[in-house]
Formats: sequence, structure tokens, C-alpha cells
Amino acid sequence: MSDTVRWSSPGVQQRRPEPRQQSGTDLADILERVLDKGIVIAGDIQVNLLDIELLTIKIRLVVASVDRAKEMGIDWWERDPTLSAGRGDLEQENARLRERVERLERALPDGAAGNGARPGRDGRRAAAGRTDPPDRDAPRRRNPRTAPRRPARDRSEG
Amino acid sequence: MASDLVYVYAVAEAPVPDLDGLTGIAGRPVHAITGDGAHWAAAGQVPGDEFGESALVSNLEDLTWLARTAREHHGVVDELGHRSVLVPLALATVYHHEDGVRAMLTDRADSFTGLFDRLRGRAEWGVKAFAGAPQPQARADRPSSGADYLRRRRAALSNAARDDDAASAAAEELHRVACDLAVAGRRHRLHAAELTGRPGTMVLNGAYLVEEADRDGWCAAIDAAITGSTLTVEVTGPWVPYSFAGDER
Repeated sequence: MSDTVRWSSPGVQQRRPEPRQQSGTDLADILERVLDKGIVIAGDIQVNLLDIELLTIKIRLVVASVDRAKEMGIDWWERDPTLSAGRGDLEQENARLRERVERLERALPDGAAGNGARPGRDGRRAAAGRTDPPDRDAPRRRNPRTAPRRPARDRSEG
Repeated sequence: MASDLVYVYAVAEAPVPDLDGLTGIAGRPVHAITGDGAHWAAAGQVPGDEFGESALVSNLEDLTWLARTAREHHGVVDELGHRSVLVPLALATVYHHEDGVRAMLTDRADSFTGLFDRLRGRAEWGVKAFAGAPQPQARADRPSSGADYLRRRRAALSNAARDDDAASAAAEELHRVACDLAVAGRRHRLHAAELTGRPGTMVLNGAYLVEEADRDGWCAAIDAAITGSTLTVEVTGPWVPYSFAGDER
């Protein structure tokens, strides 16, 4: 079966069978087949592939990372996949977003900042309405830069 | 140092082809183990310290080891697929001695005969289809009111639902076309979008058992079906019929 071909749409009209290559995409296809398909015969060494939960998770990571594997060459999985999947970027983005949300919340009129904004739930806030100056009770707010996290009661209100 | 174990790649129909020069896992030669029937097992020695039970469990968690072993396993199966009608075994079917393999061949002779009849002259093709990536929202301005927000949210949800329905329908149709000229078709588990590394949602992960004689016709039918389709489709094949080698599972 060495004449395995691969083609895809869009651009299917330009289809040309590609010679089989040991690419990252092939690896995902191969893993899907040799682990999940094929006849299961109990040999003397009993390892149920489906019992190994971590294995499944990692296989999915392999499948997830085939495009990256192509870009990076064949050694990408030698690093911990959970660390190589742009986690640093995510943390940075998370911090940026958190800062932005807090900036936006400060700019919003009191009561419209998500928590406790529902009418009737909190009479004072509902009554305060949107006509209040945005920073009416700003001094009472915690400085988000010095507060490690928002107090739990803020969350439970919403 | 643990003693060598016997790794079985596939069970095939007699006669045994020339296996000279064919190597598998750990670069070990592949040889035939014949039972008393019309079947033989393609097997090779593997190091006991890699394939013993506890070593195997931890090795399977090692992606580098797993990737190499999977390729070596598939390499043997794929190469033998040219030479014999065969049933590929799942990765890591390991015996202590060749006697165990012979006993297995005898015990399962009838089931192998049935599988060979089903697979002879046929190959597996894979079709994966992905729905288009969701369109970015055209209106980036802020909702003017809560009602406006809810209206937009409802519209976005209903657009998404409509797109999903359309993609599902297109996948159904593609599967139907693929089954039409195939002996059998299976829909495998879909891979989650964040795991495929593609922008679109996978809507079809099909495997089709196609007669060699129908290969061109089947490919042409798939070509026609996916040309102009809203789905992004990837077709691979021919594969040794991994997906049709097991019991109906």
C-alpha cells in the first residue's frame, strides 16, 4: 500500500497524488489506526490500550499538533506537549485581558459592570442607575493592581 | 536483561511471501509463524525490557517511543499489504513464545477466514471533512442596549446553528456518496476542534472499504462531491483495512 495518496478540497481540481511521506500528518493518521482500529487479540502481555487514559490524552495532543509538527520538524514532541502549546503566550494574554476587563469595569457606570447589575437584586445599585458619574464610588474600589484577586463575594453576587 | 518477546504485526493468508529484508520494530527482521491452517502471522522478536508488561505501560506513555513504534508497526503492515491479504493487529500484541502465536492462529482460524473473505481485493480510504471556520462578526460596535445585545446574541446563535445544520447535512451527503461505491463505510469518532489544529469543526471522520476495481470510480465520485462543497475535505488512501479488520465494534 505504499502508493497512499492524500488530496483535499478546496483546490481539489489540482489534485495530485503525493508520494507517501513520513510526515506529521501521517503520524496522526497512523496513530489513529494502530491504536484504535485493527483487530485486538489478547497476547500474553496484557495491556489494554484503551485503559491508558493518559495515552489517549496525549494521542489527542499529537493529533492536535500535526500542523505545528510540520513547521517544527520531527522533534516537537520531545518537549512536554502541555508546555509547548504556547502556554506562556496564554498567560500573557490572560493577564492583558484581565487588565483590560478591569479598566473597562472602572470606566463603566456603577452597577453596569457585570456583577450585581440586575434590577431588583440590589436596590442601591439598581437605583443608582446610569446617570451617576462613572467614578462615583471609585475610592471604595480596590486597586486591581495591588489586589491579588477579586474578593469572593463579588463573584457570588452575580 | 529480559529475554526477547514475540511481537505480532498482522495475520495473513497463505502462502507466505518473500520476507527477506523486511524489518520492523527495533530493526528486527520480520518472519512468518505458521499455524496448522491457511494462515500465518507476521512476527518479529522485540526486546523484553521494552515490551514486558510494566515497561510497555510506561513506554506507551512516551510519545517518542510510541510514535516510533507506531511507524514501525504500520511500516510492516503497510508493506505486507502489498504482498498478502492480511488483518492488521492493534499495536503491541505481544507473546512470550511462538507457541502462543500458533495457538492463537488455530483458535481463531474460522474468524480469520471470514475476515480474509471480506477484505480480499479491497482497501480502506479515509475521508475527513471540516466545516468552515465561523465568520467573524461584521458589527464590532457595542450593543446599544440590553435588548440589542440579546437580539444580536440570538441572531449569532441561530446563524451558528444554521451553519452547523448545513455542515452536518453536507457531511451526511458526503458519507452517503462515499458509501455508495464502497463495500462498507464507518464513521469514526470526531476529533474536537481544538485538538485537530484546524480552524473548522470536524464533521465527518469516515473510513470506507473499497474494491480495488472500484477505486477510480470511488475517487471520482468523492472528487465530484467535494468540489464546490462548503466543507474542507481530506481524503487518504489506500490503507490496509484497519477499520474493517476487527469485529463490528
